Amino acid sequence: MKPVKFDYLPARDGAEAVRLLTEHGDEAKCIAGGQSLGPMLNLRLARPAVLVDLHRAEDLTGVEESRDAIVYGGAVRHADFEDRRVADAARGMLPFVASRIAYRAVRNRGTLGGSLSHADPAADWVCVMTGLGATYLLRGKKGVREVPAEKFIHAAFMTELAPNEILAGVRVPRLSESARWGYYKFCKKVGEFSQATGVVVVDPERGYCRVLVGALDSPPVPLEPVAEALAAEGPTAALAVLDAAVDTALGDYPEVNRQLYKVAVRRALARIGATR
Amino acid sequence: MSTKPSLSELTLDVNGEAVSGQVEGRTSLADFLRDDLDLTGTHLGCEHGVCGACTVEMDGQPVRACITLARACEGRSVRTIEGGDDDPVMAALQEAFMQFHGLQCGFCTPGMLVACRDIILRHRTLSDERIRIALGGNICRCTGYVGIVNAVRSVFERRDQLLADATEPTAPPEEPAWEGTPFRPFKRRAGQMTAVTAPPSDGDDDDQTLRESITVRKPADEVWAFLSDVERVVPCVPGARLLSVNGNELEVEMEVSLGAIRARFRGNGRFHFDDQTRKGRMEGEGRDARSGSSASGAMDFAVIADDGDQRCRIEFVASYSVTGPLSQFSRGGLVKSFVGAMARMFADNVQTVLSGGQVSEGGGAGLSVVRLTLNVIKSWFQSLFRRE
Repeated sequence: MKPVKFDYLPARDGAEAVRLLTEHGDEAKCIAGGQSLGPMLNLRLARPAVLVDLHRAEDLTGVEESRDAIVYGGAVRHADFEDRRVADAARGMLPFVASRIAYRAVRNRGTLGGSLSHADPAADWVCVMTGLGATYLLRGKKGVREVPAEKFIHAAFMTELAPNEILAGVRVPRLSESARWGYYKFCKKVGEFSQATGVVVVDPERGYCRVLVGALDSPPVPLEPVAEALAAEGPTAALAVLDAAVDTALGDYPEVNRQLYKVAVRRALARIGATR
Repeated sequence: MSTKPSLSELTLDVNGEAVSGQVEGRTSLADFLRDDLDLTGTHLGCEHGVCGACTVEMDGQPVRACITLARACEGRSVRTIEGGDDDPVMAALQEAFMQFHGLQCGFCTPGMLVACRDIILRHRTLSDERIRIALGGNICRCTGYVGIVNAVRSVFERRDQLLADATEPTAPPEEPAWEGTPFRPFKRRAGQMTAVTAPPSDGDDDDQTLRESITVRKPADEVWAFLSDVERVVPCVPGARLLSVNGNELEVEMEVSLGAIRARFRGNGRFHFDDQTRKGRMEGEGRDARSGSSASGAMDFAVIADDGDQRCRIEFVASYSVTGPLSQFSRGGLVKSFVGAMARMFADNVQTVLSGGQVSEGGGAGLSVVRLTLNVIKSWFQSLFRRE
């Protein structure tokens, strides 16, 4: 099928995008790489009257490095991480994760901000950015506001973004030398979305530890007992409390699904040295 | 919606030549190549970015031409299968596809060749497994993968001859090995999150009933009086607008949206309230004229006093169904996440109104930020939309 008719408005920068979205109100949508919205347009599930294209907005495609963090523009593409055209704040985690998103032709177009704004709970960036404790920079009419990753997604496909706001950037704290991460996603076929995701990030120098289970029907949930045990006693101790923590967090999920989530987190923990 | 979007001039480089044309905003790169330039070697299979048949190169990188808007290619350089003749790797791949029987019906071949050329350029080492992983986004329905993989391997073995002056590819990212350094426990000072229980999953069943319970810090009588007043309660439902009431019949409009999908259901409903038991039922059905989708739903609710008379609990059981185009975008379980969020907003709105506050028309303060939908029916192609 072909999309409905719409006006295509390329934005030169984030401010112009916000202005265009404000001007056209409810009937406008923004697009960056179009790898989520494109199929929805073609199938006429999405029927915007106006499409504001962000992919050439100069302030959204750049990267700003500081001592403690890196801010990635919302229109930075998955392949930019995979090919290391942008600096990596997370000791190899961002290129590793990016290189396993969908397929190369999709990674060449799809963007970080687009994936996060689409807010599919199974998306890699949704899980990873929450695991890393990233902060999202939302640009609206009154300037930029900051929202922590874990507060951004309200429910599947529902975010903090107002209709005339864009996800202008993502600030990722730099992992220090002693940090480690583990990431595992269970996919039935290469490139498909995850059915169960485990994310582990430990950064002893910053006292930071987060363990998440993702690819749920809702945003990723923390496994706090596992994170506490991991920091205090190490990966093997974390493994010992994993099953109970998943059962508590996902109590109403069918057992077969919980098992899948347990395995995903267990494998993520195994990456950083958990042994039974 | 504007009915006559203007055509725009598009200029780009295709297969080494500057071309231009008049395109609509909605024209895809694939349609521009095929319909305007007669470059029909770019095949359209699924037309929503899944099958890979339309893969072409843009600025040297493979992209899906069916989900790339033509106007997003302004000033770019595109190469289709017709433009590959002078490329040594492409020529070698075409020979190898014939030699190793990687062609079969030929429909996926143009996209396959573009993807395979990229695989050869981007790798320094290449196992058969790696070839198969990298070809995961190109579907051959003749299932001729063995021949295709063999063809890629045979060309890769000659990579250095074919690409004498090529730039060195970036090594594919792998996980670091942490073994060298022992893990040292530390005091956790950061990263804590509020522990939450994920909303119940629908799992794989088709049960479309939802039970929710919300607690309101008001006496039960007061809450019941409010809940049984449709003119006050309907606007508390996110996205809902009461159009008219006649006896126990009402006319309601409900705007729901899920990401880029938006629908406005308009329809009729009925309600029944029992003041003795503080139980009620509302039901209705409506249609979204734009998408041609229909929705129906019913909600039973009860107000139960709790903790003396300081607060009460509202329990409701909702059932719903959506048919038509919108029902295609879904997967089991998501609906409970939406409805859970909607219940929280509804509860917030009820609290606000009961405390003397106001809820803005069309469904409450939260709606400008958070919009919702209720459409979930499991369907076989749900996974097709789940992409980044």
